[in-house]
Amino acid sequence: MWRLRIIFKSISKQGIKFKLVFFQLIIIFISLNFAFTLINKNLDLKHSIDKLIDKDKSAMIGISVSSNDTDPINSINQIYQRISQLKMVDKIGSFHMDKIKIKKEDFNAIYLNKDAFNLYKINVRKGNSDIFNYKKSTDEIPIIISDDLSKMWNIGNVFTIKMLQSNKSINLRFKVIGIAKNNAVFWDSRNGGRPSINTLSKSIIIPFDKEYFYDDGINFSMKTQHTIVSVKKTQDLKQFKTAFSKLITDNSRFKYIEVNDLINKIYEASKPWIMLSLIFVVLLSVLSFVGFVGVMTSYITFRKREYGIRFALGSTSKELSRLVCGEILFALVITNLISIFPIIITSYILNMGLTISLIIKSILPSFSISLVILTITFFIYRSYILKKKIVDLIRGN
Amino acid sequence: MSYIKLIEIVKKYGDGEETLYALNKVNLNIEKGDMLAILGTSGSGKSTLLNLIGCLDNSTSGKLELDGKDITNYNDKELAIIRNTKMGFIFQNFSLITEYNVIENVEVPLIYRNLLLGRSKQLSKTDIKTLAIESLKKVGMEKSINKKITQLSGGQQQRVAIARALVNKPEIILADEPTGALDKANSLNIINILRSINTTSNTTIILVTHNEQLATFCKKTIIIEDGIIVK
Repeated sequence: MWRLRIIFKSISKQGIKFKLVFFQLIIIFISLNFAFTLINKNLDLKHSIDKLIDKDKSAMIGISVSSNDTDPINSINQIYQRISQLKMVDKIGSFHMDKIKIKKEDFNAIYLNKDAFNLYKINVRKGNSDIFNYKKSTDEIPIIISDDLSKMWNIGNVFTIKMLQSNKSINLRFKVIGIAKNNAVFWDSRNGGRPSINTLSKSIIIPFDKEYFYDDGINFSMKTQHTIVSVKKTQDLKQFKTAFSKLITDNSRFKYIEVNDLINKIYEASKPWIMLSLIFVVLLSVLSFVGFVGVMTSYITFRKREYGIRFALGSTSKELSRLVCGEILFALVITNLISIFPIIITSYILNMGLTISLIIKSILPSFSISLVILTITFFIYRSYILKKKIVDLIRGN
Repeated sequence: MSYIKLIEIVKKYGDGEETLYALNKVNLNIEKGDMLAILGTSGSGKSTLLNLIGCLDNSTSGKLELDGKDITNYNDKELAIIRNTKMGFIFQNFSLITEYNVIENVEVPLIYRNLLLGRSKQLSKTDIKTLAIESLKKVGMEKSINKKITQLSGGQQQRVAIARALVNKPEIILADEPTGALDKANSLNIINILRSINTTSNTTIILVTHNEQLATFCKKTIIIEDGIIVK
């Protein structure tokens, strides 16, 4: 108790030098936490892909027909039907992403057809994961919402959205029957750019089924752009590719990419960002280390006289070590805690969807670095204070 | 029996031809209740002698006895206990912790005493405050307990340093040029306080000075030159 009193009294009496150390530590930890959050976010997505579709047995395809085709919707449906009938095909599913407005707020609407639900393995909490077991109601469409939206709606909530159905704008009633788990991910190529895998955020997953919701335009878009085919065995993929190419006619064009290749492309695209984050962390750590050693050396040597006086008044080396390390430990704990808040606030403002486990993972390196800093402080103290005579310390030499 | 006994104490710096003897085979006996002045010119070794007696420095060779016990090879904690419980220090530059106020400075030795002597002998927060105020009263500084050190004059700072030296009721007070940074009036005031402590509580006072006039206030005087006691 007395030891703690000495430490707290000493801290409370320190002037600008200690505040500088404190401030520097806050900057270091905020920067490190941000950098590690970036890295962890990327790693988390990488890890999440495994939870997506069965990537070794799947391919993403795009089917399109000539603009001269008089009935493109029918043509696409026929090709889709033929693919699903291929003997090596296990599952085929399509999705489409769009923006919808609910009370002037934008949300991602992800339309998934029945088979795509099975392919995507989206973990649903609270509700039944197989939403098609939902007892059909004539005027309510069962939906799953992303985890972040559970702050806004809960299971059983019903809301109305004005949407297109068969080219007619009608009011549709949606009922929340499930909430996707917070680590659920999804392909995102809505803007026609490079596909990426993102954590589901502000998303409403709408079952695309004639029983609930159907629109020819969305159906066309789903099948032409985002169709996933899963085969029974990994080695069947080659066979599927051959069979699939045979379906090409003069009127139709196809895009084919195996999911593993797609994932590799996505990795390649995110690699520079991960590398940049890593370089940033390394540089920051080195700079922080050099800066911190300088400030800490100056801070400890600045207090030489005080330490000498404490020795003369009855402090042992051990007691003084406790004081010096206790002060810095206190500063490290407080600055570490303070540095968590900017991440939480930024995550909230930018809607980054950072989970608590991700934040904890991101601050762990800072805690490890804190231990290194504590050790460095002890060595600085040992070299500049313990190796000196008490009289020299009192004289400030 | 001498209370403090120095036997053949040598303190040297460097090796070989560059060896410098700060103290060379010094023998000294100090009785309990003595008020001893160590006189000498700058660099004569008087402060080194005081620091060795005060366990602030180690001798190269020789033996130091305190109250009949050889303390030459005492460890860090044993020396800290001696410095804290048996000795009080007064330095020329006051050596107060400037971040602390008056009473907080005086409380420091009592807090370390609590840490050194274990729970059974620990003083409460109130006891510490009472003892500190009591000590400040002895030097007439009880009205300035909450003042910052920087708000005090040199003479007042030295009186706070004396209060701090007295707070643990030490048996020995070691004063290194206690009036060196003070004017004549303040110097006289400080020396009177020291004399009063010596007579009222039989505290041994060892005072280092280069001021011969100041030494006349002490019961005994030794003169040191080039690390050797010459008188």
